[in-house]
Amino acid sequence: MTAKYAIGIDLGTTNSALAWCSLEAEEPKVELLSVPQIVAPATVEERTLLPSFLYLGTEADAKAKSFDLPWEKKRDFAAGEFARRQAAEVPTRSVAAAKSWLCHSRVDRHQAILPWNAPADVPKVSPVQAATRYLAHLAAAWHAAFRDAPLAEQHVVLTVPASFDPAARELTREAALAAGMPENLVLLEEPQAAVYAWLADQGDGWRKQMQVGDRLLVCDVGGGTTDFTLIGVTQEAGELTLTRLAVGNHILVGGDNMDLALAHYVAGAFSQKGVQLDPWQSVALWHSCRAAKEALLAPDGPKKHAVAVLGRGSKLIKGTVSVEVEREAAAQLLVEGFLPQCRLDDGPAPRRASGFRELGLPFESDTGVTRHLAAFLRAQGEEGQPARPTHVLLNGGVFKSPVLRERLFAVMADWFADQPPRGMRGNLDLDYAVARGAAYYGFAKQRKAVRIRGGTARSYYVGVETAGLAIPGAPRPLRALCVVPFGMEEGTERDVPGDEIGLVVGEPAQFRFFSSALRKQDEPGTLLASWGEEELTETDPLAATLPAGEGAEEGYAPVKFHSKITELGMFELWCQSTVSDHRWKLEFSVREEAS
Amino acid sequence: MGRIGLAFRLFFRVLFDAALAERARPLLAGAAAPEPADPVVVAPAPKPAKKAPARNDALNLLAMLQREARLVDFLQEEIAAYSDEQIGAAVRDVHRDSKAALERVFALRPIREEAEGSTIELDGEFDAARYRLTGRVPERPPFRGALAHHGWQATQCVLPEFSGGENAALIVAPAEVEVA
Repeated sequence: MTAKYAIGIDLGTTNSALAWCSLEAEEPKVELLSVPQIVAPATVEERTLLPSFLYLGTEADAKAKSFDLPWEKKRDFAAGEFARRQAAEVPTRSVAAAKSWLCHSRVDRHQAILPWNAPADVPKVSPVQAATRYLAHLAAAWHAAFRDAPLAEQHVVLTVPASFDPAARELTREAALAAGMPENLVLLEEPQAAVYAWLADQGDGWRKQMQVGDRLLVCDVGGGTTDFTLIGVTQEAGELTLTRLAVGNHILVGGDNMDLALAHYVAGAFSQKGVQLDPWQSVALWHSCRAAKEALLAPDGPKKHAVAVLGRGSKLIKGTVSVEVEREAAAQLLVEGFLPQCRLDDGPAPRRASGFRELGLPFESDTGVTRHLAAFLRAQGEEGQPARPTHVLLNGGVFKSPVLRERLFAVMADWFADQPPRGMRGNLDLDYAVARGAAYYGFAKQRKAVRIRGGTARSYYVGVETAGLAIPGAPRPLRALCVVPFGMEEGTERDVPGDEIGLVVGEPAQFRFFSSALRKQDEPGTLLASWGEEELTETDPLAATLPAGEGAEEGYAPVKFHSKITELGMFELWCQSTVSDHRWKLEFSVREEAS
Repeated sequence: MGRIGLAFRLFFRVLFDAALAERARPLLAGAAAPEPADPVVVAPAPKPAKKAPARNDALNLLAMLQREARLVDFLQEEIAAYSDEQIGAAVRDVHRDSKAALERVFALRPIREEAEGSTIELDGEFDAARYRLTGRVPERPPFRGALAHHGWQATQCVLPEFSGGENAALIVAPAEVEVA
């Protein structure tokens, strides 16, 4: 089998897209796939975005064939535009933000838990299943358009947030394989995909815009998440090379929060007029606010903009209510709320239990993206100095607004007054850059064209309990053993030096798992006795059960760790017996621990 | 057109149009006229043949405009009783969403890019379907005149596809019931 196409898939929190380009072409020409989807019962329309929403229908829906697609009949669910519309009106049957659940290590992501908090009689799906359905939908749309080029035989690149931990990447891959993607599927970090989209636009011209020693900050504010990545420009054999230096933490704030914030504010204005909006009107309001946001934040936008909510019943004009939103108030709310002026030594307010808690997801309580950015640059600095980006690449629909773009640059110009970072020039398609960049990457990978080097964005650790005398009532002290250093490259393996560890045969062995975006100096075998709360982040544990009789003596097997980053960027941790050739792979245990 | 008429027209055109004469020459030699080369189009694989949908496309469009912009509600409402201000408040949203829906379906573009009011000239080759001539129209082109309206043309026609049954064929918008 030979691949004919490079395919880039952006599995977004709120929207997904698929871009493709022919591998046979001399120059990559990236196109977007039109995705047929349900827009109303029994009505299919093609759109280039597939909203990442799922509507779980009733028996009546399936019987009425409401959700039939050209490739599948009698479905009892719908993904895409119709599901997005349903999300607010029928929340108990709608799944949203499945991707944020994928990386939420406090829940079992294989368990049917979505829609979150839905009553017992409603069918439910797991976060992995939801992701699988979006990806399967894109795959089916591909097959409908390209019958002679099965997806499983193409070069497929799927993007994930840079801040996704190894377990979340594993789950994403699992969903993709279940959706019929090929085994050699490549996961690419979204901010890097945005850089590839820029490279595709620039061709070789990018070398004129950057020079050795430059630092490119990618600021990617998606629908639901914000991601920072720092990329350095170095020289190798006379050629400029891009190397990913650092990625930030997972920040659950995005463009949707802005629309919601404005909608919330306007709903307040309505209630002052004595108008209470029902859920249907709230959706309409959200929709209107998105349009109002664009008008109000335009460079020469009106001083006031009327936001109306149409009457609920068939009497549209009679029931229409409207309020005027002042430009200044909207700017205050959105610009100051999401991109506040702050100092480089400011940081986000610590996360605390908030009203969002009931939604189950750990939403940020501080929506100040600039404060998160300041903390990121400080954490990635050297010798006590914060990291200094020389260039900035923006990604995400949020930055279509010049006011928001300018604010971000103004804040950074304030931080680095002597040499403010510059914005990258070029045509950036903010809605589709990630999918386009992923397709371009698939093409570039085949042609050995320019690639961003990176390796792992974090160092990884497993928790090992120290031997020694047990103190009654006190847990044995936990140490963190470094198994993967920062920047370990794809396609490499490392033995982890250190004492051997005895694993009991026939019983599940479980290791706590940590990662660090900050400890870049640790080598495999480094044993940390203590660490700062900010330094290590704990995610899902790793586990394996050793079957009896495989190189195990007297009920336990002495092992050492061996780590591997596959060509496809997946992390594997193996337990290698020190007395035989046997080895066992540890798997992320994404199931909730019984407690 | 009768054959005599056709013969006369061909006679004169072959006489005065060298290019047409060259295209006509093989006809006499017994060969088919060469087809003008089609531009190479890389088309996606053909879609499977579908049976005719139960719902008329016009109704499909109407249902879409109601669903996305509530245009039917707006047009069906008695507006005499409302103030201009009240109508204005509603119409902005209906207008915005109708426009977005039309753009997606038809991608409407002006036929002429010139500013309305500017003078344009139509020579003998102009396509009569694209122009409506008003005023003192002479017998033959060229026509010179002011562009009164730039015209509209659809650059595509992508309607939603309806897969429902006969029972839903006449439904523009379902009745809505909010379950308590």
